[in-house]
Amino acid sequence: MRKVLIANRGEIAVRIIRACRALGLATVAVCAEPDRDALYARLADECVPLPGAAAQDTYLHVGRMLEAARRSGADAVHPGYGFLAESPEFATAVRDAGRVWVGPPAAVITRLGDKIEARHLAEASGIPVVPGYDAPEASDAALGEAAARLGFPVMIKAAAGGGGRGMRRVGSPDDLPDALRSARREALAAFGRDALLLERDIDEARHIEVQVLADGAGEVWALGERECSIQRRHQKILEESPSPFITPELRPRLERAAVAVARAAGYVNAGTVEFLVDAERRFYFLEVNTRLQVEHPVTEAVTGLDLVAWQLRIAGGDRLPADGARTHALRGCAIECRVSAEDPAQGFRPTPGPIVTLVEPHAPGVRVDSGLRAGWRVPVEYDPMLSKVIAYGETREAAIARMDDALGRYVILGCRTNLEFLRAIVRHDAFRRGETTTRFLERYLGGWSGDAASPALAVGAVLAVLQPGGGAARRAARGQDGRDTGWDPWDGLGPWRSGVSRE
Amino acid sequence: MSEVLLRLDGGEVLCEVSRAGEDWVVRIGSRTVRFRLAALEPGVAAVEVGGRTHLARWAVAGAETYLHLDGVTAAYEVARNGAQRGRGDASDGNDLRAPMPGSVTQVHVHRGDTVTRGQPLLVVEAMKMEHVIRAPRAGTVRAVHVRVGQRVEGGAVVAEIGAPGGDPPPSP
Repeated sequence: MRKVLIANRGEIAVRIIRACRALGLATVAVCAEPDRDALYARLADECVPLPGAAAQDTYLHVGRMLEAARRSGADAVHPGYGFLAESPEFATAVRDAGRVWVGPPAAVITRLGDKIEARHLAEASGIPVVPGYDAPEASDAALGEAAARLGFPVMIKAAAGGGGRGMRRVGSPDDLPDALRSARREALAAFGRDALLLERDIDEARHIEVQVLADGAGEVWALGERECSIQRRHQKILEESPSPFITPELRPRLERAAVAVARAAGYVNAGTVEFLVDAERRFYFLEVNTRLQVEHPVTEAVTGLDLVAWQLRIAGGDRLPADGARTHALRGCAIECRVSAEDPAQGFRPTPGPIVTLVEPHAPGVRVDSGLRAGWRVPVEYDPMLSKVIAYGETREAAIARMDDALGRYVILGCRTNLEFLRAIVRHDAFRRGETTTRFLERYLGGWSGDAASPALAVGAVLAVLQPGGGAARRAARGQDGRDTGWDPWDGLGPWRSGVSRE
Repeated sequence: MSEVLLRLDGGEVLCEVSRAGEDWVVRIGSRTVRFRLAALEPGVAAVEVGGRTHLARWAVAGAETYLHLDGVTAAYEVARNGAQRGRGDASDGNDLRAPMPGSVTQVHVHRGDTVTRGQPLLVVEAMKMEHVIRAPRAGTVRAVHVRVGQRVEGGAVVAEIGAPGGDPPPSP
């Protein structure tokens, strides 16, 4: 393994490039048209341009990815997360093309990618699953009877699901037929399969996941848990490790359950076993994510391991040290916030735009995994996630304090982001108390709209006063065609010359 | 006092800007924000508010100005700026202000001098950058408030200009 093609974009492509570099591996990026000038495309040793912009024609196109690998001479493919990361077809095609797939075997992806099969596998390993109904290819009538038995509210999930698609929470029997119909439609469009299963809706549940790392020789590590309960529409926004809710007694039981599922599946490489934990701290298996997770850095922070480097090493045939369970004892606490180009004050509408000014925070215990650079325009075509801030501290309080400071100093000008909203989460008393349930955002920050009379606005008003002519000069500077000519409020303050020396 | 109207997503916000000694005082609705402002470089200033100092950074993208201060990014357009309205109190528009804190290195005029538009009046220097304050229009110098070597705060009134041919006001 000498040259790795990264079949992804954005911050995770940057993350993988850095891991490859540290291991002495050359990197090949692929970039669709809107990503030609992206940070990752410029950082990689080579970049293969893909024609078009739509994900289907580029980052989801198996044929073009393989062609890029062939043309560049890459002998391995890292899929990152999302896009083709959990596609058994892609994993198979990469292997068939004689290249190393940085991920679990295609057969494992297929088996665990089916939520019904994954539930059966967990049950067979003696792991509790969420009470539900998971007959293969169940009819609407069978699902209806099962829902009546389980009781409402009930969760509908797509067997092939992921990312919240095909997922519905149904509150009453009257709503079930419509919900089943629309869930089937959505699942078919997203995954090409409309098989559904039901799970009881567990109130006040927490989403807890255990990171596993497995080598090709049967060594499987569980690397503690991540708390991922703070979500909006089944999308995670903030994650932390360890969970403030998981006790020292429960943690090893979760880890043993995760290892049992991984072993039963013949898992190799990095993966994540997801659980729901109810208010009485009973846990239930949910699913396995057969890839690197967005939130992997919090585990890296508390274990000291480089998970992406281990993915590459395991794919290259390296073994985990047999005494590993002793070397990665969890220490401290880490929190991750996902920075996105979206406006939480306006229904989280996406806010693509140019990055005019970028200042990312650096401090002890603060890590920023970012795909940004000043001068780049956040494209409209892809996911709005821009970067992640990870803060580590010896205690949860210390990690929160560092996160608060880091979010406050993260400057992205020209493109609106959710940074202020993220800071409102970590500053909230309920978050500080560890009340991190799936209901957190609706309960505490529903209808959040920021501070309309902030000191930032006051400073803006003073800048307008200091610069005579303000708005008129601004419009004149924009030119007759409305195009921006690079006017800056400071320019209006007068003709400055730099480097004046005194006589 | 100057009024500035900022246009945000949620509508327009009227800001009343005034000075209290070296502080800026901005009233937005029922809220008053009081702070000091010291420019550091183009697009960056140190802002002391509530006993804490943060860097403010701003930039323009499209129609909007983006200004970041302590975790909050305001995105706005300047819809109306008091200085350009041509009304308000008599001295409005006649005050010449130091754009940032620094030292006065040159004073070219005296009270009562007649000046032409664009004529250099004073020079303020800070951080190895010098700023020439010029007459915004033809007129008479009504007052010079600084002398060479004096330190001034950003926004301080350094001189006043009256109408052409107008008499300087009587000395206090």
